[in-house]
Amino acid sequence: MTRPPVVFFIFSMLISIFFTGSKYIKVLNAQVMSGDKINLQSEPIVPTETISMPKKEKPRLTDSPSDIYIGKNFKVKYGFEKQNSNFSFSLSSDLIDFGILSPNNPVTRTNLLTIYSNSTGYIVLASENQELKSSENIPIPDTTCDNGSCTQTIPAVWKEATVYGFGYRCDKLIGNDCIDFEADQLFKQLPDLSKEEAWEKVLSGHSEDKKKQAKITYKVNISNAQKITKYINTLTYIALPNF
Amino acid sequence: MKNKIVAFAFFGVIFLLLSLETMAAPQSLSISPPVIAISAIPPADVSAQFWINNLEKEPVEIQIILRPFTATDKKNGEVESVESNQLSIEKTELLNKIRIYDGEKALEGNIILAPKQKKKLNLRVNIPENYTSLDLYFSIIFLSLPKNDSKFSHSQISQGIASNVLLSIVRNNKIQAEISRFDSKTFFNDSPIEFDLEITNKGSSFISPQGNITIKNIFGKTVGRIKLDSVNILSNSSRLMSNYNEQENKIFNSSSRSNETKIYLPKRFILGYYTAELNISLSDNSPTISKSLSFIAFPVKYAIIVLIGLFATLTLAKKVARKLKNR
Repeated sequence: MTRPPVVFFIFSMLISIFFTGSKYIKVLNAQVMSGDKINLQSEPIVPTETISMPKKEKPRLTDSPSDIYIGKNFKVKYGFEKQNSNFSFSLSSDLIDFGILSPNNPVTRTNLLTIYSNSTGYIVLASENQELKSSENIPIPDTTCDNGSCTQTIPAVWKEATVYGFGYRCDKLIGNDCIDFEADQLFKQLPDLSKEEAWEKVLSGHSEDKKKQAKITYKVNISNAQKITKYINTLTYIALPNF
Repeated sequence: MKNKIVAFAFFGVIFLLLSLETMAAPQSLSISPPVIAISAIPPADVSAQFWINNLEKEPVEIQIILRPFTATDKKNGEVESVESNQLSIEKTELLNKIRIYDGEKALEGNIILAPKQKKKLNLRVNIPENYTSLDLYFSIIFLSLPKNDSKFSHSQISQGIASNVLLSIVRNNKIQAEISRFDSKTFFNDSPIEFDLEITNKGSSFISPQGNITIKNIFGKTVGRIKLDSVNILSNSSRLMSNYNEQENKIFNSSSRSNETKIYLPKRFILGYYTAELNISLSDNSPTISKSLSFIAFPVKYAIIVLIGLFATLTLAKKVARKLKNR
């Protein structure tokens, strides 16, 4: 290979590395929140005072939670009988990209929810901050399904390509923890917090010391009357252990 | 020249692919322990540690929210959110006193967990002398803030995981609880054997009952022992007990179980008259309470198979005997 192509090769590689790396740098330095702050109807804690602990009474802290800790005038019991009771929750993706929407072409995307608990049952609550909306505040309403009856609590069949909106369904993959979606093609709306709808349970299970997994399928379909633009919202899933 | 064009095209394609907004990433958080039960006698500087773990390769920014809860009507330990304005003034005041510490520093906003980072945090609350006796139950919710975006229509996903805190300020540790229900069917024709056990806590503090059920046959021999799950029962509430955590029970096919909360003696052959003796202590310091019931087990399915087999054998034997006699 002669010198000019080698130089050009190295230059092209450096340009690509620069553009690739700049995306990751943006993420790593993300001290500023993107998206709207989520209102869970409970304000985050912002202490106005600092508690000063009397130093000589400072409790002994260890590197792992033991079952019971006894301090002065208080007792703490961690977890249940098993030491190191663990509870974990995973999502396969933090972004559901519907691409460019076109009328009468329903788009479906999936997301996997995985729960592990070795000591307690659990529930997973879900909500959306608002309907899918454009920057001009044009909504894609939540679906009411084929017969117009589905809500955030009542599922119904949605298979017609001329029925529009946004909805979801849950399919069990490992375990049997999805709620309300026994039949195929049943969909529900996600509860809309902007309309003060209550959070809904999507998963509920016992402790079985093994991984549980469910697939959430999102579906969106727009009509000819819907403006072709970008629509966004934020979905939230919270895993709560039983007590 | 040809090499230049090839190299340019190659890296141009790579650049274009990487420009597309496909920055979705998995999220995974874990928390330990999932439940923290605190009993305090004023005055007390309560301190309880817990761990939040980012299991993924991307950093995550987390908002921490304290959210009060109560027990649901299902009586199975599921939590139900309580609006802050539904709490009493004393409980609201106590909730506002709670602080989450990272080392010696009280957290004043969000935290950032690096990839694979396990962070130890500390819940602290100062309870002065003469503080009123009460129970407060709340979840510490760790909520990830969505960071990825797309040029196209999309939903951002925010993930939350919680640890439940039961905080009880007590002056006299008087337990007021009872076994409100302990029963089963009187006849079982197949396993598993099921029991219904409900404990009602009428006191003002949560309790953590411990107990077991011993199954004995007609001769008094122990044929099974069921250890009850270690659970908490909130003040002024009832709870249905279970034994999901028993090792033997984990092998039990959970898909065949109903959604009701029950105690199961897993699949085994059982025939005859049995007694189930419940021994339960409603708290660490209270005496053991006993209650028993009886049931009969007769595996009808197996009996029918045995009878059919016997009948077939007898019929065959009769025919053979007749043939031999006729010769």
